[in-house]
Amino acid sequence: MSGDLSGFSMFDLFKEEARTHGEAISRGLVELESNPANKELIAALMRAAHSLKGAARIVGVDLAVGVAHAMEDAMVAVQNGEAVITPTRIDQLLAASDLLAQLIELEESGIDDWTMANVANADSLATDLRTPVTDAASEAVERNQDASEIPAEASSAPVVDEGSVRVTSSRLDQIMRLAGESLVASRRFQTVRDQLMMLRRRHGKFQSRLREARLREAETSEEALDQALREAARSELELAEHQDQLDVFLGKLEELADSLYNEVLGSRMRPFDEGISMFPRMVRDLSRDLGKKAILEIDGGAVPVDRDVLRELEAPLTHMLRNCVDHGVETTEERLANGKPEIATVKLNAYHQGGRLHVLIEDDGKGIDPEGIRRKVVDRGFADESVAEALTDRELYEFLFLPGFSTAKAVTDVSGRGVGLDVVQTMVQSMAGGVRISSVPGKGTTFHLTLPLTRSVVRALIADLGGESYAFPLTHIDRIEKIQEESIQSSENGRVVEVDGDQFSLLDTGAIMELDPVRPSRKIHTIITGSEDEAVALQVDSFLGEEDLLVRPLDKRFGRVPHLSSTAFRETGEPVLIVDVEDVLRSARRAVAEGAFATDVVSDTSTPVGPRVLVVDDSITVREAQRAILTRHGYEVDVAVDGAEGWERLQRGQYDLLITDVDMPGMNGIQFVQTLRAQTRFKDLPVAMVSYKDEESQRQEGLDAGATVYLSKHVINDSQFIDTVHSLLKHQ
Amino acid sequence: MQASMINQGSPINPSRKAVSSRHQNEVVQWLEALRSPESAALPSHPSLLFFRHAGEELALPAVIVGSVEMVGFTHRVPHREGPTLRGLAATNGDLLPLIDLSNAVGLDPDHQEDDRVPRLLVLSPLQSIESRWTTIVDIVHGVEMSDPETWSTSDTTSPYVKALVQTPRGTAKLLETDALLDSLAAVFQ
Repeated sequence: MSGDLSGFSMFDLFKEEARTHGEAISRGLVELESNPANKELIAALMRAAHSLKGAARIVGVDLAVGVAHAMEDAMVAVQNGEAVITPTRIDQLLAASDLLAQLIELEESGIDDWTMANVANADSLATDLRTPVTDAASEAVERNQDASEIPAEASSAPVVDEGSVRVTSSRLDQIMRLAGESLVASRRFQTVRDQLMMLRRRHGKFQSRLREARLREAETSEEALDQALREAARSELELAEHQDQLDVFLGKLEELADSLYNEVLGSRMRPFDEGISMFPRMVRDLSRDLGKKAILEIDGGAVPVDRDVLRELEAPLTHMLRNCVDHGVETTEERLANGKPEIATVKLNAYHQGGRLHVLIEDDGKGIDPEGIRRKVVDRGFADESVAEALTDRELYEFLFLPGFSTAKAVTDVSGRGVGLDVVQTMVQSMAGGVRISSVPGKGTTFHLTLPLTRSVVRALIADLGGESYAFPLTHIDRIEKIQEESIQSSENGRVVEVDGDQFSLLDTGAIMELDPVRPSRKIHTIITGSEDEAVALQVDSFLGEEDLLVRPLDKRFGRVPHLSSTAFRETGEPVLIVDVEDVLRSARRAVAEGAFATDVVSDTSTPVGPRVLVVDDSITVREAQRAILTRHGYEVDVAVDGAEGWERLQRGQYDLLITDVDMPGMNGIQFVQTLRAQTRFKDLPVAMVSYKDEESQRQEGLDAGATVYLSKHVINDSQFIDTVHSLLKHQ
Repeated sequence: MQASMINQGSPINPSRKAVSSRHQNEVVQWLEALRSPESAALPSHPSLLFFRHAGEELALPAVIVGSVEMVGFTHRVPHREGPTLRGLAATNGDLLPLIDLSNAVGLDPDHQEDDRVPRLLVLSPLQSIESRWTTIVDIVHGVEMSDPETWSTSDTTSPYVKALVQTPRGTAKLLETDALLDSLAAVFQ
């Protein structure tokens, strides 16, 4: 270890060492359990325990010294052939490792309290570790006898230490910011060069004019004109020289900034291994608790991942791995009965592709039954039978990400409480990533995460939407196309365009993002994006160019804003909002599937003149479905995304009917309706409350709050919905 | 492209721009002086930033005003735009929430000022980024000390008005800071 360590106390350094050794021990022990005769691994574990003991001694944590010493003794006994590795011994060593891991979370001032609280436990562990364990020892060795002849796995091969430098995260952030700024700043010279070029061109014109004047003017001015021409020629020469110099300078600066940026970016990148070291142990413990047998195989452990991404990945990966073991992996008896190996394999694989980080979590368990989901979709009223029947497996798996949607027959302590996959999806989306499920019943399930490699600088296409700049990261763009208006066709699901023989749904990005609809134009500017089998053409007003953007988070007070990932400044200083293209695609797919977006596009051409309705719902799909139906029936519709915005709009506008959801973030529908009913001017406003919550008690709560009617969301596509609207407005 | 370079209302004429620029410098100097430790020790009358907006003469305690700036770029935020929350304003390398003061404190949002010299006020009540707001006002007059003894509270009916303050330009409504900040906080709830 080298570098300036002055900012760290001895205890900080100890904690870092304890973390490193602790992770190695925990991971090594899990590996040792399935390969107990691996002598190299035993030696490595013994050395790690020994180092930990020495480090603890230096900072005076005696209790840790004793435990690490006992761990070391246990390993030495195995090395000397005086003891064997058994599951019980592994448990004891893991328990000791867990105890030492607690130190990582402590402040130095808390050591005494920690020692007092753990004396008995540490003594007991040390005693256990020094007591011979004989249970199933010979069986364990015999079972794994063959393994001893297998060379050590690649993961336990010696790793060349390239040396490391410790940098505080705040300082690294600062360097990163500066490097990013310098990269962006260097690109600004492009503008200067363009300006110089323009000046040179203008100067050339000036010379031409002078020549013309010389031909026309009287001979007396000839000398003056000659002089002017000479000066103009000289200055043009100078300008050209400056431009050449600037080109050279620009090239060097860009190269320098790129190198600086790449170096710093590299220092931010950590091997994937570093963020997942706890998972083999977790899978092992969890499967044992559940009476199952499973091991975790890791591929791509050396793949570099931005440390922020790596840190934020921990929670979703934890949940998905737990989900695999809890729901995916069968019991040993079931596996054997199905002709599968007794021990299930869960694979965690990371790789880079197309400028994105891909992470796969794959199990060889029972898979997901799409028919089970389809039944649930119908039972829960998300779609009627005919619609559910038409859903593909992939579409059905999307339902697993809905809050509260779980196919688990029994809720367990591990997962299946209905608060899992939707949270996973939210976390992944907050990292500008996406998650998909694929599964083969009886064979297993795969979660596929795609994430940005880094979250600091993105190269993006800047597009104009409603007179403002929006950035679309290039990693999400297949290509851009300008299409003639005549080539747009109408289909059942909306507008379609054909590009190079491929057909794409043409979607109004402005409408999806609830901005102004894209301006009509002879030339349609489109961004082709999405996966191969369901790519779409997102329509924007115009293209403004391509730029490197230094990513900044949006002010936290805005919360998670649909369709946006972050903000940045353009080279001109103008702010730009960076679009979460995956999220736009999700909304677009939902809207197209509902037919809402297509209908909306068609209805844009007509001018609504009927009564004015305010629709308040936090789901864009539901909002747009209601808007489409109401607009089709001649109503003028405004929308709001939650109770607070609904309340604001209601106060400012004149509405004949309010339709509101119940479950919304911030001010929910019940609070919203109670608030408005407290005002005299809204006493008689008809209010339709619409919700998936359709039990009698919930209905009554809505009516008690002041709703005129309470409808189930299941009826939105039925005539009952529009009939109710007509009826409420007739009684106005 | 609109580029959101907000300069609403009448264009700024050059002479006014010069005056205003001088004015702005004075405001900045005042604010700096008021934030200095020495000024904190002064047993003084509070300093108020006087400005005109939506046809009303208004004032805010200078201590909550972080800066007064030329109006630069702004940007709407999809799904979050409302009558009060207008989007983001760029200021000194930050993007801060931009609010419509008229809606926040119940002024006439449709009022058009004839002689408008718009300025961006950065409100910074807690001196932290996450408590900063921006708003565009029609005209900034400057910072003046004011004796609370001369304030009148008898005619204030709005919860957003703390007192009426006499100035050479007429009566100014001193905005109630807490109520204003509560109103701003509510736009995100």
